[in-house]
Amino acid sequence: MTEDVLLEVRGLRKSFPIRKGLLRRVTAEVKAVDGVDLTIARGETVGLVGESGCGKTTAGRSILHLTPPTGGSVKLRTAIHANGGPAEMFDVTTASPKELKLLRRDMQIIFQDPYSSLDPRMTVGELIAEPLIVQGIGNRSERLDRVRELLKAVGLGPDHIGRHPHEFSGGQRQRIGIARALTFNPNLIIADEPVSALDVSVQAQVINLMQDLQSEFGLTYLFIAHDLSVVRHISRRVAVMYLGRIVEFADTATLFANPRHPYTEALMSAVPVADPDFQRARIRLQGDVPSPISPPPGCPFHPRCPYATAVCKAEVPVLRDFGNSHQASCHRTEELSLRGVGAD
Amino acid sequence: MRNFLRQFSRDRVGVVFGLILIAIYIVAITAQWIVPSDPYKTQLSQGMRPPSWEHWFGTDQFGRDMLSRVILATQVTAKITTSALLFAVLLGVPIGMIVGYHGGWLDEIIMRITDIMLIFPIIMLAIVIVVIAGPSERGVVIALGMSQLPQFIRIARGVTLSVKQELYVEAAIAAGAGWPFILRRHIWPNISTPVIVQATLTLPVFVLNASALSYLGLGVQPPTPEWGQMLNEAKELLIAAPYLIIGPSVALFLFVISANLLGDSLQETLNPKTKGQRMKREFQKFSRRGLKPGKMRVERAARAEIQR
Repeated sequence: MTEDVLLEVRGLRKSFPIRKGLLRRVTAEVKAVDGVDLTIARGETVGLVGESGCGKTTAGRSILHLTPPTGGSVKLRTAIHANGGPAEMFDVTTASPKELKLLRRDMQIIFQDPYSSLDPRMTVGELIAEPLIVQGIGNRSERLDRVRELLKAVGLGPDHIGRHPHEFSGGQRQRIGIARALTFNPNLIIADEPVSALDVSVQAQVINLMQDLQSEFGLTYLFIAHDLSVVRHISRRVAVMYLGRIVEFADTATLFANPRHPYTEALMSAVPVADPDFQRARIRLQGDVPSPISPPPGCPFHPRCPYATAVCKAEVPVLRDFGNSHQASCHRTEELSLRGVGAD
Repeated sequence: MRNFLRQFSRDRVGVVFGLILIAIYIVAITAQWIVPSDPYKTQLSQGMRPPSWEHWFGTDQFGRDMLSRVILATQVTAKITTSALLFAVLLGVPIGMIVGYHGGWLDEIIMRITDIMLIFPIIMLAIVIVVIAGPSERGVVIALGMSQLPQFIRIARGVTLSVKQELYVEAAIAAGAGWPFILRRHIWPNISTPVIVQATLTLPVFVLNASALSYLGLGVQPPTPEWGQMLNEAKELLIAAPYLIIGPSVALFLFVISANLLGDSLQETLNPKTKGQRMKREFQKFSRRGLKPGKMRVERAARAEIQR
C-alpha cells in the first residue's frame, strides 16, 4: 500500500474462557476473534461486516484495548511519544496504563446504542466535557468552549448543553456520541454499528454527518456493521468476517461485483433491492453459525457452504492475495464463478 | 431534587414521621440546654415520685427527674446510632464499590466474609464485639456498625455490578477514565438512593439493638442515661413504680417507628419500581378515615353486594 498506514492489526486474537465447576477450571474457550489481520490507511473508511456473533464488535473493542486482546499486535500511528516529531507506529497492546490513557485521545469509538452509551444522569455539556475532564485538559470555560464547538460540528446548538439525554431523539443522541468521540480530533474512530439502532431516515443523516466530519477533520473510520447497503455507501474497502476470522477483504466495488468467497456471495444475495418486482436469487445458508467454542475442522464455513468438497473439511484455508489487494480465504475460489451484485 | 420533594410531600405518613424524627434529633442536639433539671442530680428525699407537673415522667429511686434523663438519653442514643450508621456506610459503601468493580479473588474473599457475618444474629455478633471491645459507647458503635456492614457492602456491590455493565461506563473507559473516576462519576450516583433508604431503615434497628445491649448491661454504663439501660433499671421496680418505664418506652417507640416509616416512604418515593408496602397503605387508610383496615374490607364487600 502506498498511502501511509494508520492502523496495522496482525494476528489479533481474543478468547473468553468458560469456567465450570467448584474450582472454576477453564473447560473451554470461546474464540471470538481468531487471528484477524487488518491494515487501514489514513483517511479511508474500512467496513467490517458479518452476521451477529461473528466477532466484529469484539474485534473493534480489542483494537481499542477496551477488552485486552489475548494475542496479536495492534499498531497505531500516533504522536504520543514523538515530542513534536513525526507520528510513529505504536503498539497499543503493550502500552502502559499511562500511555494507553494518552492513546485514547488518538483512537475513539462510536457506540451502537445511543440510549445506553450516555449516562442518563449527566447533561449534554457534562457528557461531552467528560473526555476533557478525564484527560485533565483545560479549565471550566475552555472546556465549555470546546463543547460548544463540538456541538456545532455535529449539528446541535449551544442551547442543548444543559439538557439530559432523555430529552433527545435517537439521532440526536448519536450526534452527542459522535461529538464525544471527536473531542481530541482522533486519528482513528471505530464506529460500532453506529446507525443500526436508528430509523432508516435518521440513518442517512448520521451517515452523511460522519462523511462530512471525515472530510472536515481527516478522520479514519473502521465502520462495523451488518447492513451491507450502508457499508457499501460509506466504505472504500470492506472486510468480511466469519466466525472470528476475516474471510475476504477487498475494495468495495470489487467485493460487491466479484466476491471471491461463498460466504460473501451469500451475504450479498440477502441485500434487499428497492424494487418490489425484482427477485434476486437468494442463497439460503443452511444451519446456524457454528459454535466458536468448537469451530468445525477445515474451513469454518464448510458445514454451510453450498460448494464445499472434501478438501474444505480437512484443510483450513488461508487468506490469499488475488491482486488489487483483493484477499479471500477459500480453497475453491478459482474454480467457482460467484455472483456479486451489480451497481443497483 | 425538586421533583423528589414535590412527590415526597404528597406522602403524609412520610412527612409527619420525618418531622418527628427531625424533632427527636433537635432534642438530641440541644439536650444540655432544654433539660428541665440536672439528670444526674440525686435527691433521695424526692425518690420514686409518680408523674406530676413538676416531673412529667416521675422520678427514679434516686430522685432523678426521668424526663431530663430521657432527653439526655435521646442525645446518647442519637450519637451512638448515627456514629454506627456513618461507620457502616463510610466503610461499607467504598468496600462494596471497589470489590464490585474489580471482582476477582478480593471480591470472593470479602463476599464470603460478609456471608459469614450475616449468618450470626445481629445481637449475638454485637455481644461478641462488645465483649472484645469492652462495654462502652465506642464498643457499642463498633458492634452496631460491624453488624450492618455486610448490608451496605452488598448494596454497593450489587449496584456496582449492574452499572459497570452499562455502555456509558465503557464510553468513559474509552475516554481514558480510570476506576476511581468511574466509581465517583457514574456508579456512586446510582448507589446513593438505595444507601439512603437502607440507612433510614437501619437506624431503628440500631436504636433497638443499642438499647438491647444497654439493657443487657453491655452498652452504655450508668450513670449515663440510655433508654435500654433505663428500662433495665425500671424493670427492677416494675411493681413499686410502674410509671418509670413510660418515658424511655415512649421515646424508644417514637424514634423507632418514625425512622421505620420514613424509610418506607423514602423507599417508595425514590424507587418507582417498588409497589407500596402493604402495611403502610393500610396504615394510611387507617389514619385518614379513622377506620380499621378490616372494617373497610367488610364495607367494600357490602357495597358490592348492594350493587349486585
